[in-house]
Amino acid sequence: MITKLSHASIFVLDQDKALDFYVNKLGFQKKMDMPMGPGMRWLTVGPEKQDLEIVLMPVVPGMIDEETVGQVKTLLTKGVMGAGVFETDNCRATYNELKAKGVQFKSEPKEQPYGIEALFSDGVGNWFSLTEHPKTAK
Amino acid sequence: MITKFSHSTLYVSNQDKALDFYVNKLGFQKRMDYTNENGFRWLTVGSKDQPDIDIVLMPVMSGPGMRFSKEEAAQMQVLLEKGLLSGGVFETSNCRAMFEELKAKGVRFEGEPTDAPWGVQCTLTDGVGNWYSVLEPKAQTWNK
Amino acid sequence: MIKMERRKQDAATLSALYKRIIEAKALMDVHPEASLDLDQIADAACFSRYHFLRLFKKTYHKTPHQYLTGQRIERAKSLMADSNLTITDICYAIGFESVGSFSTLFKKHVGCPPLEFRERLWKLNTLLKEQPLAVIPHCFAAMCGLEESPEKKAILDNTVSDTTY
Repeated sequence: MITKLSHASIFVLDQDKALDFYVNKLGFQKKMDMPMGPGMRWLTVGPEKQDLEIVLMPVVPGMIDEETVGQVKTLLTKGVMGAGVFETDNCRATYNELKAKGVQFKSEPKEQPYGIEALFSDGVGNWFSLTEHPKTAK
Repeated sequence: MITKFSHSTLYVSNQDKALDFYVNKLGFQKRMDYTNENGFRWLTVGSKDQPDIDIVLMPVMSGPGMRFSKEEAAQMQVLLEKGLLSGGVFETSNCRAMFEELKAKGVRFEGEPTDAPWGVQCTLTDGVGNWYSVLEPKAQTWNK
Repeated sequence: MIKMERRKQDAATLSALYKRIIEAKALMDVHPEASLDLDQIADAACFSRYHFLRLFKKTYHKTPHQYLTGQRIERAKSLMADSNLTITDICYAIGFESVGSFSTLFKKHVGCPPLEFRERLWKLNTLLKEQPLAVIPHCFAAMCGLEESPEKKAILDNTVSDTTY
């Protein structure tokens, strides 16, 4: 039976720039980096202590269907495709740290009933909640 | 620092069919299911062996306040109906057994499980726009 | 040529073997509440008890008993979410004979007793209905017309930045 999701995909326009963002700005580990053909790599990143890997999927023929490439690029740059949630042990500290590194935030840390949340973008249409849950329960 | 990724977004062409696939075929849990007055349905699922990650089954909708314009929603819907997007990778304890079980439940696969240096793998679709690799990692491969 | 034929035969044998294990698993999936013992399940799959135990564990990394217990707990959780049955009724509905042992096992698997789990679930569902923004992460809420906020305007104005990529 299927036991878990081991890799989640995020579309990116440029794998090198995406790698720089997720590793040098967000502080993720590069987990896998393997050539797969002209202009594309199997490139995955993720938080150090999490098994789940995030696939930085380039929008190129080969990785996705050729006729789809143009459409996905357009949808991605318009910011309609990507959303996800990252958890943090300290939203305000992480917000300050990431902001200093040039990460674009759409909102500052704000108290929500489920914790403290800020919203940020990776600059290419994917944007995320950064959520600190209360220590007692999720 | 960022400690983990907790919600992964998956666009689906039809949420009811998606729910049937992930819950009744893959055996996932339905985690949240709420529909607001605009008709937007917040629907998440996940594996019982992975309680800390939710997969958001995101509909493609346009309308007041929605992110997609009518045109963008139509484009996205076409991409999904053609099954042109990648959902990610699942892990399994036994790829060939999983293949037999899900095939019998009507799940569509591309070819059959094959051996690779990193394990046994196959490819399936959720039928609502997304393709997945399913991998039985090498350490767990049954020695034949 | 002979090697290929042999591989084809091996694959066919393996496939047939898996189909039988899957039948046994299906019995536990569809009727986790039925009082089935290992011999009955093994019989249904036309295996000896020992052979079935070994194959099941190798395939699913759990013994059939562990798997069946897990399925029963999941069924209990669904009944708590979707019905007004009492905890006692749920206990018997999923095939347990004692509320005490069900509660202990439930707590071991889920991390809290059945009643506490149910209360948390009901609270969450109520919150979701009455204040969805208290539950749904705002990156999704803003995308889907659930709120009007300055953040939402910023998101709607989202463009590719020159400073990133």
